[in-house]
Amino acid sequence: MRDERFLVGLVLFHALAAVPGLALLYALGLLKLRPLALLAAAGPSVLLGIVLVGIPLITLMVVGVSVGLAAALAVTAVVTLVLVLVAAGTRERRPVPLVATGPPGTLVEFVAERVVLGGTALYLLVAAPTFRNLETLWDDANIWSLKALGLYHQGTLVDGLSNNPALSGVHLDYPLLQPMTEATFFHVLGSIDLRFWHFELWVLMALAIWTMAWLLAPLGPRWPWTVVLATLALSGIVIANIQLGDADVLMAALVGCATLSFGIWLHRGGLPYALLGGVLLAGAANVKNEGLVLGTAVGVALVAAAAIGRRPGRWRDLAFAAGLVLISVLPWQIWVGGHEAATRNTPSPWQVIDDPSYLTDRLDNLWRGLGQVLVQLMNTGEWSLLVPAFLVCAVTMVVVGRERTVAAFYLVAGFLAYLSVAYVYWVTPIQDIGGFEQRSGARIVLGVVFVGGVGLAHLLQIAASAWTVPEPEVAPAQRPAATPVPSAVEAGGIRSAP
Amino acid sequence: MSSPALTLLLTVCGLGIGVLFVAGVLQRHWPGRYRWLAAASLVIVVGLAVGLPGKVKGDLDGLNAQRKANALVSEQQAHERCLQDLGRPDLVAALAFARERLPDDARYYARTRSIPCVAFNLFPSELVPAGEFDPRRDWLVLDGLDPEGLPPSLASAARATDRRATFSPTFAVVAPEGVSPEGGAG
Repeated sequence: MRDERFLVGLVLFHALAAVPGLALLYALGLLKLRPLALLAAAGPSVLLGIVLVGIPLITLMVVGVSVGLAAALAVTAVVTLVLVLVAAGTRERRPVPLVATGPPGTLVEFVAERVVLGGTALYLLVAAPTFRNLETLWDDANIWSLKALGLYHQGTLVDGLSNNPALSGVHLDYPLLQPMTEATFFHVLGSIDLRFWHFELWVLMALAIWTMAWLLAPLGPRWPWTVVLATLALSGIVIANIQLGDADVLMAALVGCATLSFGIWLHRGGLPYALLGGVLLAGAANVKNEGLVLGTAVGVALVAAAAIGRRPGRWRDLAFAAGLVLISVLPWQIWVGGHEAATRNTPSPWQVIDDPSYLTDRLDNLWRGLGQVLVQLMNTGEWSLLVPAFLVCAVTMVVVGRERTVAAFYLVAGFLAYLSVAYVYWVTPIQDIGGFEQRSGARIVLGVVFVGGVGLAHLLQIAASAWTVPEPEVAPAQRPAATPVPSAVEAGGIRSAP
Repeated sequence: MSSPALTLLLTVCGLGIGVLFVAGVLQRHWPGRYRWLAAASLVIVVGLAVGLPGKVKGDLDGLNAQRKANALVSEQQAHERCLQDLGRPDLVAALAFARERLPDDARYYARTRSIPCVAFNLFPSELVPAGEFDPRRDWLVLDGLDPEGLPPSLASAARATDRRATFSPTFAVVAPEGVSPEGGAG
């Protein structure tokens, strides 16, 4: 009985989440209403739907509205309706379909990409049952699921759980997208069963990998990036984080998807990819504060890359994306600012900048952090050669002059993400840095790994597309890539068939 | 230079040497800069692909063992795990005792060492902060019966033995004024 209820609830939850996600992709012109295209976009749609419904629900709760299943259904309906109206209003201005670049695929490439992608999908499926029956461990019981059960039962931010000085130690400032999703998940299931939640976290991670593949698939050669996505999916650190019920994987995966979307925007142009990146980044920033920090790192890299480029309309695209993120992040951040119990454990740069001695006294922590983050990034047992491979690929592209701006964007984004994690070591008030490393060292680099990972995947795709069709040297402004050519799924699914 | 930085540098150099070697092999077939891109892609993809099969097997073996180990975990156990981790397995039965007495819509204040974990096990009742405790409306969950150290309104409720249901010498619940502590949950 438990399994049947779980299965029905699972299907219903994802079907409901997919609706606004599909509407968004259609409104952006990234989805054609054809069966195969809809199927290919199902994964990204669910991920986007969770963000599109979760953030308005958080906003409603912050202004005092009680949210439950009815509110979730109403928000799903309203968001979908608005996006469908936008799609109808912009029907005449559909973006030109994205064109795959590069040589036609060979039989070997075709087989290789199918084997790796199919193998990864099979692995994710076979591993899933492990996450269906797990206990709720410490962080989850004290932070994430505690908030989720509070939202499930009380529907609002009751003082006992959100503005209680006795609970300041369990991070009342942490954003609510994951607990909100968990509460909605249980509402759709019909009751609480904590053992199932890890299964959903695993599904969300798989959906993020699917989203990355969906974004990359129409661009051209696929075989090079399939191994990168497989490496991300197969990490034991990802598994451990989901078993713990923590939010790092969801945050990092959303940051990765957003970074990739922005990378494609930088490479091919088109407002839809900038907006998609904005929505995904808004999701990451509403999962964990680190999502906001990593989003800022990506944003700074993006502005720097856009300043080098000459594509018309780039600042408008970025302004729209930044506006989206800002609007989505503000409600919760304003709420946190107004509640003393929701104190931040890690001081922001503007909180410590006027106290140089605070920083100089902790310089040892900074050096230690810079080293420790590298130790984690160089954990080849978990991440294989992902980080050094990313560096080699990006530097090679910068040196040979192939899509220098895109390569530089990923390099700068990755470097800033690395620095932002080292900053946490630098300013943390935690005295036991060794214990902090032991508890958190592996998971706090997840965002950096995903930024580097999607960077590597995209750059390998670009590199492979130049293999047999050398392009004439042209000025950046005249490149075909400068033409806005979105519509990812138009070419999806069939490019490299021999 | 620190050891992790050196490891990164050496690995990058190793990959770079691989790229140089493959680029040398490809020299006859590829024009200038594309040769470098092809060499870098090949070295990286092969470098990443080599480890995948072993990783799949290792992961699946580990996951399978965990699936078997967790096969009998009940929903109640999932909830109570934090109490075990807290070193307070005695609270499992104590909180079950409290749940039986608190109505579903009850509000309560908990005096305990780990409020989050206790609150996690007392849903759907609503936790209130100490400052909002109202003895006429709210229950008091006492993990440690000594009222010392409690704010006045809480201490006075803690002393109200007529409204107290005691589970053990160290654990009790105190009902709101005018309510029987044995009233039963909703």
